[in-house]
Amino acid sequence: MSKLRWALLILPAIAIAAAAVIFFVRRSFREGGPESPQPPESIAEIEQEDAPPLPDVSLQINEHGEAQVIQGTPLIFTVRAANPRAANTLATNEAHERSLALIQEKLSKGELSKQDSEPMLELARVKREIKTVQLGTSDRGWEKFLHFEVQTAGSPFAPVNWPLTPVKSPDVKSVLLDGSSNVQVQYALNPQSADKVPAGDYVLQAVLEVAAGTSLPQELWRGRVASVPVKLKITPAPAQPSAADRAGMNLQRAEFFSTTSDWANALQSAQDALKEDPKLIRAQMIQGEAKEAQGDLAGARDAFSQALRLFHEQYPDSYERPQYLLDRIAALNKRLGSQLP
Amino acid sequence: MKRVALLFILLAASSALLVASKPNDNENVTLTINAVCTATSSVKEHDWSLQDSVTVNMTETVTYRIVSMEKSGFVELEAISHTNNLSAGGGGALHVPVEPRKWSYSINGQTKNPLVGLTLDYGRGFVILHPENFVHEGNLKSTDPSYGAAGRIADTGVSDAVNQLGSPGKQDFAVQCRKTFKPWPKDLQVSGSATHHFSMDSADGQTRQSADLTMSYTVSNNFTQEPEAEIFPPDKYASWVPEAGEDEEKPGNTITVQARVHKKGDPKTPYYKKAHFKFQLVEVSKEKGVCLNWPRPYFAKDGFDLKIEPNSNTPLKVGGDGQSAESAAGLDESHVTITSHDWGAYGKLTVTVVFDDGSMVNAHVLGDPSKQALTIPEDDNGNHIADFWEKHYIGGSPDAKADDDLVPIGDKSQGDGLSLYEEYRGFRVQGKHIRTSPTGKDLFVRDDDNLGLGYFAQSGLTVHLIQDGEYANEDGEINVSVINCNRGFATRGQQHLLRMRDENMPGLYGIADGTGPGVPKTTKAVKIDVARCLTKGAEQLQSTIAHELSHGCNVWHHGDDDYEITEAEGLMPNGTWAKFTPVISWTVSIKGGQESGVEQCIMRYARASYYETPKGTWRWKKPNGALQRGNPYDPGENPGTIFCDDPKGTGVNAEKRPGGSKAGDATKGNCKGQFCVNDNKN
Repeated sequence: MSKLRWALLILPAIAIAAAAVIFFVRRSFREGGPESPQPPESIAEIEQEDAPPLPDVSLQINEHGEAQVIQGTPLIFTVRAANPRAANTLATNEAHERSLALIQEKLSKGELSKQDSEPMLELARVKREIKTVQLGTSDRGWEKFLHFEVQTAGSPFAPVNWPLTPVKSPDVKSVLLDGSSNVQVQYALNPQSADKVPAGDYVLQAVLEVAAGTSLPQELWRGRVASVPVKLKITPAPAQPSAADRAGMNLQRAEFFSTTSDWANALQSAQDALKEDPKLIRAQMIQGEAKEAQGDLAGARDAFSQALRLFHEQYPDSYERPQYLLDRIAALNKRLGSQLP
Repeated sequence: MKRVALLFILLAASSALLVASKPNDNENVTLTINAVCTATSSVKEHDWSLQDSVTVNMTETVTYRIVSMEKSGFVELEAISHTNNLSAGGGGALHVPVEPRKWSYSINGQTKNPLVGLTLDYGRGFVILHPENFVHEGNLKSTDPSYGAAGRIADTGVSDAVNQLGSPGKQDFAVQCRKTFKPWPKDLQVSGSATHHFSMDSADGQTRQSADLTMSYTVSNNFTQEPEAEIFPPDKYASWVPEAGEDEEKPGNTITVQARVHKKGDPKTPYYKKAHFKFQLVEVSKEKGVCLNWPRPYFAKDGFDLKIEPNSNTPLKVGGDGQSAESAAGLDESHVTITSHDWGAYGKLTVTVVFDDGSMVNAHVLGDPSKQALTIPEDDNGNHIADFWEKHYIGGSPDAKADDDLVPIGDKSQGDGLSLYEEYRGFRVQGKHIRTSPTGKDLFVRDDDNLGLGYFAQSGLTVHLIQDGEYANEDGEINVSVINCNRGFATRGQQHLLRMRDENMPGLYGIADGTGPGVPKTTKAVKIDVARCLTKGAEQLQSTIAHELSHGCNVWHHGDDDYEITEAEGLMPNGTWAKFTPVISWTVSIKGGQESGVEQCIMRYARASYYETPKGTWRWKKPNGALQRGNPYDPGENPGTIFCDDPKGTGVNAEKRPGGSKAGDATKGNCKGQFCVNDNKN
């Protein structure tokens, strides 16, 4: 009896399994097998085979590229997210439109036969879908899905536990990245905290991660993308720093305080840097920005003017004009009621 | 019983095939037989005696068609015609006192089916004749059915001879009916004869019976049937374009090609010989990487781009380099699956059909005997580019090395530095492969800090934002970042991308760091001071990005002759001139200078210190010492948002502007007409 029952149970299962195998084998043959997909029917089909939407995240630590700082130098982490795939799709669609116009022009001039133009028109009329990326919600800003990871010699990436604080909250919490938009957020590691980060070689990356299955709106992008890793070398503070060391460190502090709008410290650091190296254009610029922010318009104009002087000394053959400095000076002159440009 | 069955099969087969086929002398095997069988029987008793003898003559010619040939060379024959003639003579007499008798023999003159069967084996080189049906009681008639001992002896004698064919030991007749020849002859001509003597005498000597069979034969053929082997492109051959996997090791797409051998000119009729198929890929590309920028050269390899993979060709024995494969023997057809390992893979497939006798024939492409190889992909103009892809673009030169991109017209020079083949082979962009357009000029940009392209889209160039790792650095004077780093076939040389990043600038909004406006190879990096741009607003950033990228594409400022002054005098309300000095210098915008031209143009500067106008309330000395009147430039204009296509001044630079044009027409201007991304141009 038990054998019969077993057989009654197992036989249908075998039959179903066999049917499924036959179905898939037949389908494989019909479709040319899993390793030999059928060639596309048309160029439109090829063109529409698009990759899924994918945001891109970049990380910048202080200046662009590898950063080398003396221990205690404050750090600014700048993260930008964009949707370059969508940007490329947009560019391709626009290229198709231009191509379409050219084909139609040649057709009207009789430089192209109708027959030859057909496949060209088919391609030129393809308009790819621009796949946007939505990040963040009104409750949970997009930057909340960001974190930083650090790698030290021989170890895998691990979350950064440095006390990074947002420089300011992003203007928008929920963003829709299309082909022409991007968003930015900055985090600061202040000098006191930076002083506690041990000297060493670090590799850091920003990671945007939205876990699948979280109770977030369906339209949000999900996945994980990491920035290109950035190398950061923190060297121990020298016992007797050189003038160049002091100038460099103070300039970086000035840049930091400028970014965080701590104008008093920015001004002090810029002036400290200029004491060591009076030719630092950036220190003069920050001095000008700090003084302007503090209401010292004449002092700011003088600082920008000094920066302009230094620029002409150091870059006499620059193809680009120091338009930022000229704009600042002109604006300050205006505010000061001066007729001078 | 066994003999009867064999006869039945032979006769049935012959009959059926005689109906189904028409003879064709060119492909036939001919068997000619001359046979004589004589038999005697004599009995002598004390009061009676019997004398009986018969002679049967037979001539037969059978024509066979070769239906097929097995791998071993054994041939399946189909009798398609025969002629034969049988005659019998002789007779006997019974001498008895009371009622003497006489009889005679006759035989049917012709038979419906051949009398002698034939076995033919080309591979082992022998023929065997089967005369089982030659003489038997069914066809030899005696006028007195009660007597006819000689006829029966003749039948028995033939049977005795035939039985030896399959029995060991007594092999005389069998040996003589089996004639060997050199295996796999082109033409067969075999002759032989066989004799057999049979006697059956009684022990007392009163009965003497014997039969003698003599048979001479010739087996011949004259092959003129030729094979024809064809390569059958798959249904979608015309739309097949090579694709690659993630790297050279991973397979891309595949194409399966069938080859078949048949009788020449008659695809429906199999060739009589079986064969094995040798597939060989020739002239296969070995481009580095899978496309022009992936994997990067350090990781890229340059193996064959089309391969016959063992996994996709389990019935075949695949050569070690994946360029050849061989089927098993004994086939009429075979197929091979070719895997692409490069987005620009190309090559040819040849097929050699090797028959089991060692002879061979090269396959040609279906319907075109002049094509001994199938081009992969389909490529009638032989430029190694799939025709399917080419037909979708406005045709320039079909030369793989051509670079005829037209859009945007830019500086009127054609091309974007990438050859037709390179555009086709394509690039990895944002982790996905693309083929670029040979019509539109392409520019690759690595936007390290996700700044975006600003207003640059208006350039009309097709810009591709690539990821880190989708280019390589090579030796170079200024710009070392090369997009076609895996270039090889039909390249026109290095084509550079533009790298763009956010960088703290010494008072500039941005700069194309290099040797000044020029093609991408002249720009080391496009640097944008994002924070400083944003002090003026997002528009300044968008404009600066477009402005600096354009310098990397050969677009210049509207003019370059603005000059600096170190003092100026302003007309005071009391009519006097007051002297003023700048910290360093002031910039004076001149007609045709950097502020000239179309007001909204991205390439124009939107602010100087002063501009020249004859009715100005300021004055200064020009570098040549001449006194110049002018006014402060302020307010400056908004950052540009478009690329101009005419040097003519507009807005503040319009000729009829109330108060006079600030900077007039541009010296260069027509920025759209300057774009050039082709590194082969200077």
